[in-house]
Amino acid sequence: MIKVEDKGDYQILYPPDKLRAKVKRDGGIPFDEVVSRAEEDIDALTETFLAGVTESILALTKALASIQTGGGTVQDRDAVFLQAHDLKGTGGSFDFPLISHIGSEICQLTDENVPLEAMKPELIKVHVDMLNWAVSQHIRSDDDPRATTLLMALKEAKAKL
Amino acid sequence: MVKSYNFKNLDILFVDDNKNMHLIVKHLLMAMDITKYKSCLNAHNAIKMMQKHPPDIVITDLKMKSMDGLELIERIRKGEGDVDPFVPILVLSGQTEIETVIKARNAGATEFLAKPASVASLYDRLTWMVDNPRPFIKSKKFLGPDRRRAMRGYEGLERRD
Repeated sequence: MIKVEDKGDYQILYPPDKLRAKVKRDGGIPFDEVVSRAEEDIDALTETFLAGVTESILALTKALASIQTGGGTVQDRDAVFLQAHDLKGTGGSFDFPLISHIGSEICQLTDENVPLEAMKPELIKVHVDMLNWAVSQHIRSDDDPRATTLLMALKEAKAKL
Repeated sequence: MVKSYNFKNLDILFVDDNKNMHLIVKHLLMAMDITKYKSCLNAHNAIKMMQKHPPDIVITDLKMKSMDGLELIERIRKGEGDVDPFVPILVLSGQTEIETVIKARNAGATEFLAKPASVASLYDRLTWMVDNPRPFIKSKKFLGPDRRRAMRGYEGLERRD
């Protein structure tokens, strides 16, 4: 039964509160335990995640290659963006914020507002190389001393271009 | 006091075209003892799955091939295929620009969570949705959660007009 308040040109509806009927506020797994369970699970999935990242990098590299040779299309640009977008969205959850960071940088370079002729494939390729390197070396964070110098160099290169 | 919400009876449908996201979300939900979890890789299948097994919450990405998350939300709010138009919808997206959050809200999203998701952020949104059910507004142009009530983490976005 939905309670309805008529306000003239609109109505306020109060649908049955199904969530409160399904979820109790106690009797479940304590939050601290939920966090430790999730951390253990995600840690165990690291290799599966990295294998998926490698697949994404391959797909991204293939689309980027077309752009590098000058024969790229908007679809190629969007394919690079989508792969990078996925990496941006998943890296942090698997405790690889560096992958999220580089994915985010590639997204900015391949956004739909970037015309094909204005794209900088060399700069994108350097980011992809860094992705490969982070995966092969299992480098997780921007704060890793091995990553900070490279990130700084990428930032400077981006500013110059 | 440590929270210990009991989510055991909660049915969740997760929609995303990235397999690594499925891996993450499945394990985050399992850590919360949510085992009634269904998922699909595209929005078309989501509608079909909702018809067969009405979920208590839909969690959806926005940027998906074929049909994007905004269209999925709009179709759900229209009750397409007799799905429950009042089902709470949590958007889980890497598109975190404020314009995108507003678009999601205007399409009828209940709450918004930025990728990368952590167990803490997902737990926070789920408990928030349980504790803060939102009334719906029905007008000629809109059916969705009351936009005058802020989404968690996006206070200040309340509808002003």
